Parts: sequence; structure tokens; C-alpha cells
Amino acid sequence: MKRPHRRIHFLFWIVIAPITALVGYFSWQMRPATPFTELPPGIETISDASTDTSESR
Amino acid sequence: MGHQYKAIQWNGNKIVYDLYVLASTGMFITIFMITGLATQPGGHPADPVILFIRALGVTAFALLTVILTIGPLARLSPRFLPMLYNRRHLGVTMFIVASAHFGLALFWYHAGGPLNPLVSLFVSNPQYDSIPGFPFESLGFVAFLIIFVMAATSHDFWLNNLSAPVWKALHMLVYPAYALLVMHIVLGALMTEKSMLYPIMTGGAFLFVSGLHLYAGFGEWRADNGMKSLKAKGWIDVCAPLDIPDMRAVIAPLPKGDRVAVFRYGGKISAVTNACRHQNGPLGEGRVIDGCITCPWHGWQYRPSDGISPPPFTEKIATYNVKIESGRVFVDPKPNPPGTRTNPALIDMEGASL
Ligand code: FES
Repeated sequence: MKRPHRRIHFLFWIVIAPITALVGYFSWQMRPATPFTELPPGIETISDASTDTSESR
Repeated sequence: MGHQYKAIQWNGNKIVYDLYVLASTGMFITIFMITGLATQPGGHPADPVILFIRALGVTAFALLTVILTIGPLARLSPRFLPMLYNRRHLGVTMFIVASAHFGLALFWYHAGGPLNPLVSLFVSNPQYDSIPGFPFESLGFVAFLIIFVMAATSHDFWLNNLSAPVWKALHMLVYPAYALLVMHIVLGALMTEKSMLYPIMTGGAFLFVSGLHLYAGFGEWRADNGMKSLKAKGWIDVCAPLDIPDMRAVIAPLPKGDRVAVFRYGGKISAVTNACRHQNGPLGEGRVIDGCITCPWHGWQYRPSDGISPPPFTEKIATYNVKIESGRVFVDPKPNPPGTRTNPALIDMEGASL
């Protein structure tokens, strides 16, 4: 008896592999130059600092 | 054989294997957490919850990568067959880790607002037209849905109720799910990572998995087509007798795209169709246990000489006539009706015909 779905597995990968590789690579190329993890401190920290007047007193 | 037949009786080591999988998974997550907390990626202390979410995601992706390599590796070398027998448990482990990743991420990022967390997941970031800002969570969610459906239908109950073609088509969705997960990582973690480690690991994993599938699939395609174009009428030269590992099989393509599993058990050689009666599982990737060919997928058994399941079961598969000539195993490409008794070919220890 045949197991024809093996061919479908193969066809699946022929389609999926290049599309994912290309889309993935070009998307990655478009990542922001400064990752979020390296952005300046968060808004809360900034606003905390700007309203903190303890040092000037 | 169907409903009462549950055992996949490969080895008594199944529990040991499961413990090994659980221990490795736990260790992977622990090492990831310790390394992440110690190295402070991004130059500031990592949030342990966010790090844990990522650890779970990376672990689930790594497990799925391993799962997807098992099929083609087992087709390329019988050394990997033991992994095939336990693939389901690996799948369940992956599903549990992926659920934890999904649940924790949903709770952490989307449970605090007025919206239903699932709605929030799709609408809180509407930048669907941007690449760097794309709501990558939605891709992960779709992949998770597919994995959820697969896990929910992995039991034989669904196999029987959905019918084999529908069930198989459903389970083939794991490939698009894997592609979606790659994009989930690329558009998520990789957009904020400066280290090259993540891109290299993700790209490497995807290329390895897809390369293996393409390589194994291409080999089979060529073998099948080669046989078809031969339009061979005579017996097929399969291999030398001792090329077949004891208690295992060599799978040979036949004209018309069929496949035969040629088993050696001790000094005997018999051939049956490669397709299991249950759900077309690859019998040639199974083993002879207690004198019966045992399917690697769910453990259905057939006697090698007549293709009939041992009593009380009554399933039958097609057998093929086999002979050994000039130190080679030959198979008659014409299948016998299911359940037809054949004479096993006999070999001596040097592999020559008796
Ligand atoms: S036992 Fe299920 S496919 Fe063989």
C-alpha cells in the first residue's frame, strides 16, 4: 500500500522553507538599530525624576 | 485490533525516557534562567518573570525543533528509530511548556487592562502594517492554537473518529505552525536583541529542520520515481541479507510508488507492505517483537510470514514473496492478497542463502 502523504510532507517543506527563510531574513534586516532593551530609562523613571524635588531643597 | 489495543510496547525504558525528557527540560529552563539573570542582557538586571516567559518559549521551540527532526532522521538512519517511538511524549511535553509560555505571557502582558486578554493580544498593538512593530504575539497565538488542536486530537479516539486522511492533514499543520513560530521569534525577540546568539540559533534550527526534511524527502522522491520509470516486471534486488539489521527491516520502493518492508528475524527474511493497517504507519520503521512485526506508531502487530495479527486480533496486511539469490535479497513486486502465507527466505550467518 502507498503512503502518499510522504510526498505531501516534502511538498509542504518545498513551499514553507524558502518562504519562511526569505521573509524571516528580510524582516530581521529591518529590526530597529537601537533595540528596546537599550532605550533610555522608562517614562515612569523620567517622570519620577522630574517631579522629585528633594535634592533642590 | 482497534479499540482495546493500547500498548506501544517497545521498551521497558519508557518511564526512564520520560524522566530523562522532563529532567532535560527542567535543566534547560534552569540554565537559561541562571544565565539570563547572571549576564544581565541589555545591561540592566533582567526581570525574572519576563526571563521565565522567554525561557519557556525557547524551550518549547527547542523541543519542537527536536520533534521535527526525528521523522527525517529516522528515515535516514535506523539509529534514530528509538526516538521515533517516543515522539508523542516529547510532543506532549512541548505542548505543556508552550501552554505555560502562552498562559504566563497572556497574563503578564494582557490581563491588567479592561479588555479580555485574548482580545487585547490582537488589538493592543495594531501595527500590523509594520515589520519592526508587528504584533508578533498574534503569530505565536495561531501557532499555539494549531499545537493545541494537535495535542487535543493526539489520542487514538480522534484518529479513529476523524479518519486517517483528515487526522493526518490536521497533524501536518505542525509545519506551518513551526514557520509561524520562527516568525514569532524573528518579529518578537529578535527585534530587540543585539546579541547574534538568538538569530543564529533560530535560523540554524529552522535551516536544520527544513534541510533535513527536504533532503530525506528528495531522496524518497527520487527512489520512488526511479522505480516507477524502471517499470520493473521482474523481482526487485533489495540488498544483501545482512544489510538488514536483525529484528528490523529495510524499506524498498516498488513500481507504482508502493513500498515494501523487508524484515530479518534471526535467520529468516520476510516481506510485507510498508503501510500499517491501522493508520498507514511505516511498518518498516518498526521492529520484530515477540515474533511479530510491531508498528512504530501505535504498536499494532503482524506475523512476518502471513501478515496476520496475532490472536485474538484479525487484521491482515499484504505479504510479498522473497528469495535470496547470489547473496542478495529479491522481492517479487506483486503483492499477495492480505494474510497470504509466504515462505521466509533462509540465510546462514554469512548472509548467503541456505
Ligand atoms: S499501529 Fe497505528 S499506524 Fe500502525
